[in-house]
Amino acid sequence: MSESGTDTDAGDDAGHVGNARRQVADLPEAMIVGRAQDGDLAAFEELNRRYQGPLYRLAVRLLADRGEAEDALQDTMVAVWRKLPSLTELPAFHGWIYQIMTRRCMSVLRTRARRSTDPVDADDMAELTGDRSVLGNGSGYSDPAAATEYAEQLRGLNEELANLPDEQRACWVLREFHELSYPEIAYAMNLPVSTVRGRIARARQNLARGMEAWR
Amino acid sequence: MAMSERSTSRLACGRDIDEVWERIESPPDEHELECPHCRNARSDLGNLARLTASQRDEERVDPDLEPDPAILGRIMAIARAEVRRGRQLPLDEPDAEGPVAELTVSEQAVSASARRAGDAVDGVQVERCEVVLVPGGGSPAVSGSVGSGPGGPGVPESYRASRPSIVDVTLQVSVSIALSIPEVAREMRSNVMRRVNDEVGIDVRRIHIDVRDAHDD
Repeated sequence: MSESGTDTDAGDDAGHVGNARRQVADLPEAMIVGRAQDGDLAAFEELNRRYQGPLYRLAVRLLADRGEAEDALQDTMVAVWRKLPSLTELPAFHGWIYQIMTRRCMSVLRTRARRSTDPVDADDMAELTGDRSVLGNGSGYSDPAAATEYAEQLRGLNEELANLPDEQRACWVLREFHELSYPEIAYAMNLPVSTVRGRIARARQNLARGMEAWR
Repeated sequence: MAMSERSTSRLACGRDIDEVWERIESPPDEHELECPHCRNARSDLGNLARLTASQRDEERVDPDLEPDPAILGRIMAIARAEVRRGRQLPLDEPDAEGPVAELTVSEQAVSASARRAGDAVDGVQVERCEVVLVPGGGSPAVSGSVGSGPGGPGVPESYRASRPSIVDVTLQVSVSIALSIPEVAREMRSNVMRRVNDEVGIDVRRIHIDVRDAHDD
């Protein structure tokens, strides 16, 4: 292996990246994916910028642990970089990247279950995703009592979500928070579409029932 | 509530709860206005739908639910390191007796330069860029496939190069519908030739321009 050549292109991206990023950000997603597939770092960075927020939120929701969610995000994006050349349908990227993250999280959850350590903790989840976000930015209520009730109900939703079985929670979150289609969720979860439909219906039923206690 | 006791998602009136949920954002239809099961289900689900939508919208803009920026840095460092292991093209003219070309440039650097040159042409979006070493052009043919993406073949052990490399470049592009393709192609060719030569010091023999798509501006 000749290492002597590596310095020749050390300055490759320096001085161009800022410019390249602005240009890349304006392209349609399938084109950015194509360029990242070619090994274009600016394009790959743009994909990171677009997906890191949603994927991280998904992982926090599924794992209820920021550290593990961050690890899952890093593992996912590195896997994306390595596996990109095998992706043949560029427009399918959205479902594909969600699939990598979802399977990663489900595998962490299965490992936890095998070790029978703490399952997703409802209090952790409420703290991670719950009222903190509600109190800061406006809930739209000017009446403090209504605002409090609203905050309380959102906390309830987060707790009920955390109490769902993992597969139900994952299907529900992918559908309702990330707006994936049933076939995309089926692919991400490695389940038949009919099963996904059932899990989501069951999750909805459990959540609606659970929310009665918070009214 | 009606659905609590049921294992299927069908309400007592025969309507599927999925259907009620899908329509929850719209006003009730005639059946839903009349049917007590549907009215019940709508009121229970309406609350859940509103809360779910609020939670979704709020966490999308919640700065506390963004990952630590250091993670992007780590991911990009790994990606960069792996690009560097991509194929290397001989760059320097070695002395006649020298068995190994010491100076090389990565295919990635060549294709990045060609892509930038293509992008610099107004109305052009470069999708893919492939760089192919011309066999016998500057140096002996190198075995292995010629993909320039991550995970490509490793660095060949040595090059018995006699002259600097010559490459062919293929660009897959989308061109604005407002432009004439022959003119755009001419401008791209001269731009790519010049910039690849200036920036990475490699000669481009041929540039294939594959117009895959046309876009509105």
